[in-house]
Amino acid sequence: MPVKKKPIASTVDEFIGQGGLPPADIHTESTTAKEKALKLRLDESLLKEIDEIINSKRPSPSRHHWIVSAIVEKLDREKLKAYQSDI
Amino acid sequence: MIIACGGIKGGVGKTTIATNLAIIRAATGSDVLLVDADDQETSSDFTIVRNETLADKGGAGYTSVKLHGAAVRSDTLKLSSKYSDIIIDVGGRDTAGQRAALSVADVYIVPFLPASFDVWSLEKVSTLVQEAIAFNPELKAYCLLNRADAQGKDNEEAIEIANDIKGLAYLKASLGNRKAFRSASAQGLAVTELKPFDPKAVAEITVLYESIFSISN
Repeated sequence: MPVKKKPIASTVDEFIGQGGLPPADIHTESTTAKEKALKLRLDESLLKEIDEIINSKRPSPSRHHWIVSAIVEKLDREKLKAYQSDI
Repeated sequence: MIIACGGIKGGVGKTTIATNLAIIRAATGSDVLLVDADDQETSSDFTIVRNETLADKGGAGYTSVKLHGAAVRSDTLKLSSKYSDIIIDVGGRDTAGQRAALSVADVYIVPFLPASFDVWSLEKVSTLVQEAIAFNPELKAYCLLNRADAQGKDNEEAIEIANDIKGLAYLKASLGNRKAFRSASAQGLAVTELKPFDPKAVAEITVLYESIFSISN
């Protein structure tokens, strides 16, 4: 049957489990199989510097996107350095 | 007695009501536990301010804990024998914490404002309450008007709609939109402790307090 009634909880644990997570929990658990969430601790002044750069760009990227791009750039540089030292 | 102050709409005064009830109840000599089950943790912040304000007078006068998710049920049940009264302040969403509170509460109170969006949310709360009663048959659920307008027809219209909602009885103990409630909260006080004294605000919270604590008696 393609259309079913909303399932009714049969135990109190099921009933509780049908409630959503608060936004903070959703944020920390929003990972896919290929992603892993981690906490990043930054000095406030460094964060301010990052935000200033982000806000100066048009269109401005998200803070997350900018930090990921910075990590990728750093990884590329490290790989290039390793390659150059091998040859 | 376990009282949950809940609902799925934010910003309707749940914490203000929960903290006022906790303080007024504790002032009668009852051993009160205030459970902060809202991820915004406003009632815990309120308690910190209260402890600072009343540092010379022995502090808050009640115990405060933060609980989330299913622990709202399990830990409240564990603590229920240690306290005369437990007041649970729940965040304004349909979370596991909200449902856990519904599953252990004797009385569930849902404040609403005299506005369409607020009364619309009561229908959903009513469904949630009816589901919860399957696991907590003694649960008594009420809604009450908070921040009532000083004049106009919005109060009456909102009450009329609330009266039609099944499973959520309308409690005739409205609180007005009074600065005294906000001023008291900012200082970590109940409105009954605020100076200058606001007789209308105190009369309203007293009616609410007496209505709620007479429910199970």
